Amino acid sequence: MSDITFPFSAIVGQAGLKNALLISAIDPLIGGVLAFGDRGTGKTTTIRALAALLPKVEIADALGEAGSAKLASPPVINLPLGATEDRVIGSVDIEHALIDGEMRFEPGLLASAHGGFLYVDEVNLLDDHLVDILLDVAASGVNRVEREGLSIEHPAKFVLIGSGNPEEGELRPQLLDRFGLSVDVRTSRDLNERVEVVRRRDAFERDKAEFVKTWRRKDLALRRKVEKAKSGLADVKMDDGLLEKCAALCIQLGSDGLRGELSLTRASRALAALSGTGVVTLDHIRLAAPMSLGHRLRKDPLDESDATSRVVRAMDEVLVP
Amino acid sequence: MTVAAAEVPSKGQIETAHDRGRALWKEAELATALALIDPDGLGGLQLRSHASDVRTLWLSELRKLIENTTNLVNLPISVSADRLIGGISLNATLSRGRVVTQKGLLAEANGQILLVRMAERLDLETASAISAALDHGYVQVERDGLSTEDAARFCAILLDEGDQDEHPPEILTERIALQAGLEGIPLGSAGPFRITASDITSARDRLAGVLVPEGLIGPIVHLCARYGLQGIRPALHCLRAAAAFTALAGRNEVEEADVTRTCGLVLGAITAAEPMPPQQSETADQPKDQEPDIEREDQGMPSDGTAFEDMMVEAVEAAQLLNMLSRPRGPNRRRGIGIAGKSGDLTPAKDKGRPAPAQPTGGQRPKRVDLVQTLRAAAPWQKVRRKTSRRDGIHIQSDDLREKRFKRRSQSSVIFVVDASGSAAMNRLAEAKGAVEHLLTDCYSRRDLVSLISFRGTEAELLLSPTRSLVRVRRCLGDLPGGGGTPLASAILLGDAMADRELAKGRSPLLVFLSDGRGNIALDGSAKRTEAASDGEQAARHLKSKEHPVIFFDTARRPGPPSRKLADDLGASYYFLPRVDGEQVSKLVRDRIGRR
Repeated sequence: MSDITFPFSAIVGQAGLKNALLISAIDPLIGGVLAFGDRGTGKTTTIRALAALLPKVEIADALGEAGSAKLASPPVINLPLGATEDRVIGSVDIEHALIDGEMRFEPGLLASAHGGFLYVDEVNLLDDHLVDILLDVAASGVNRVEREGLSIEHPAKFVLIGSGNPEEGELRPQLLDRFGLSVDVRTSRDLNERVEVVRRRDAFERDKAEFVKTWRRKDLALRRKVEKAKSGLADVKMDDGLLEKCAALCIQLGSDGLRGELSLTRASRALAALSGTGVVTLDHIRLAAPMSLGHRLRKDPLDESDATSRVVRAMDEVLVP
Repeated sequence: MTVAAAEVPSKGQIETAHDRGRALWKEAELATALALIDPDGLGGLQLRSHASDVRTLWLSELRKLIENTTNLVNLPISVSADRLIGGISLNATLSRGRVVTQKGLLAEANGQILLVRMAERLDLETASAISAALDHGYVQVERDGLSTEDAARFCAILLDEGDQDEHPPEILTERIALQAGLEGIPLGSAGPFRITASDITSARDRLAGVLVPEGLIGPIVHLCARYGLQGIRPALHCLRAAAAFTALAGRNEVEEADVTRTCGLVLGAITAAEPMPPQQSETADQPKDQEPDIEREDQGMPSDGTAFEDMMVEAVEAAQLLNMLSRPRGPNRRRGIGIAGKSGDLTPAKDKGRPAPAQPTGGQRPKRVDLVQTLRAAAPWQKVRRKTSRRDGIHIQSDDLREKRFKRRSQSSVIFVVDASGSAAMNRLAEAKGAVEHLLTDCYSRRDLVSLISFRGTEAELLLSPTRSLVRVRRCLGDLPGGGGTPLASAILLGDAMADRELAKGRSPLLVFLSDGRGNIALDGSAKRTEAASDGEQAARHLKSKEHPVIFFDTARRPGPPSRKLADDLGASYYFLPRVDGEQVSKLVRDRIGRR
């Protein structure tokens, strides 16, 4: 992405989305983030801003030799809607094949995203067959290419990030469930906050370089914090009593399968690591629950209350100290 | 023009029509100029108008404004993804013997104007590609072995010829700040623009230096909130439009008057009638979110700005009124039977839809060559062939040829036409809504669309335009009125028009009627039984002649001849269903879609 992106720390409000993205940066195994919501709430802006915060990690080239890992910033790869299948999974390098008559594999976006993030804007508009491929690879961490006489397999571990507006169409439940975290992004109802959003956006668009410079220090501080949280994640303590509470919450909500519970505990741990204390508290679970469980509730055409408020109701009953 | 031709009007009427026309034309002129001054900030212009002499005049005035500086790049709505985004150039690749890429239209429009005629017919995929280019200023190409970014900054001009129910996809229009309409402008009221090409050039040069006082931001954001607008784009667009106007006026600092002059162009067409009173929207009742990382900046309350807000409201109201007057009249609502609409356009898109795997053609000449697959098939043989023929370049033989094939778009569009008249109306509507929701919750993977037309009183009404969004269903079908007469003929015609439109978009329409089949309101809205019956019959036969698939659920208490006959006239499958049940309806509809 060649354009200057809006600084993460300059984003006003949107606590849920920002937390979810930070969690995925701290613990890539969380299983991806979905941001669904209103128009013009800056979903894309926030997601693109994440790239600047990602601490360097050991990444091996997806197609390289084992042990070729080097320290680098994780790639953040954008998958545009018009992408064709051959560019997503990789294919024969046509030019090379035509000139030298040799079949050589040209890696696709899945290979580029290895060790980093794959972002799909308007994910609900993506062709179904591409969605299936993404899901399959995201879950297995391996991309198998069997086409045009090629037979190749390479690792493709990435965090899938999707965004979209439900007014253009819902997401299939199978896809929804595969995302570790899902955030409902709404237009803020706090007017001062909205004014500030417009003010900063306006300043950014007038002079991007200058604006980014002003926020550089804060972005760097946040990046160090993420770095620290990442290295401290393994040592985060979570009380057995709290684990039980998480389980009880999932049962109360009737969320399907184990995935929800797993996401909830992972996300709570990441938040505890981010807070610097290294100990999970009820507050972390409260922050993590709506984004871990909200999208796994059974759709009930008769219950019109939104998922987040259903989770909040259940939390009020279950999550008492 | 129409008013004058219809009757001998009083002097007052001529003046009003003329004045109104002049006002509309002036607004269109200003909107056009602003779009050209700041395409990056404003995205462009949505111009609502049917093709007309006035629009032709507008186009030639637009050309004068951009003479020698900018080109118009026409984007046909049926554009294929590789022409839109970019891909491999067939001719060049074959003649030069190496892969030659070709830029897409979006990249060709870089620094130019992207002109989209019949923008209301744009499909979501094309619209979202344009939106992405507007957002980022470049187009990301990941196609056919090609991976690149091409600059694509342009001013998008959408010529929107839709009637009330037809709009370009919102994903695109929300990024386009300016709105204007030409409908209802007498040709005599339109004339050469007063703004000139050199005005535009000097305004562009000045724009970067135009200062926007921070105090203006608060009241604009407040106003947008009072109109219930989502997101921050409308407020940003108001700011940018005012700044462009200030530059046009040759000044360097935006004043309140600049905002009031231009906010109507941005908000007039996207707002509902009245704003909420200021106090109500001031309450920030949302619980403060806990943010672990971002501390709140200390910020003063925005200036009071009440008088300024009032002036903006006035400006928006004036724009709303103008906008209403210039809204194209729906040709479908009351049109007589037998008058074909845009019948020439009603062929389903055969060469669109999702590409299916390319196939060898067995040496036959293919209809559309899939170049990339053909090259891939030929690639391994190049060395050998070059050796044997001792000729450079790419060697392609007939058995390498691969044909481009498209899966027929399997997307169905289910159109419910629901009788909301009489006493059972509420129940029928509620169950129809239930059926819509069931279809949408169960059919994700199919990506079917559902729309709903209800009929009661004097004419049918489109309550829900085709959607697959539960959110929209709930918003549009919140509470539905019922009772009154049964304008069956009007409902059939509206359903027919809807089915035509969906077909033209490449979808397969399915009409689902829920009614007792006893129409009693004629097409002209009168309650004459004989005319109502004959109108209904004619409408039904007209629909049958189109061969759209139709299901008729008879909701009468007993299966009676009227509804049987109607189902026959419609060419519909008939089901007797005295107790309408949403789940059952949805199941039958789904079975029907599944069979296709």
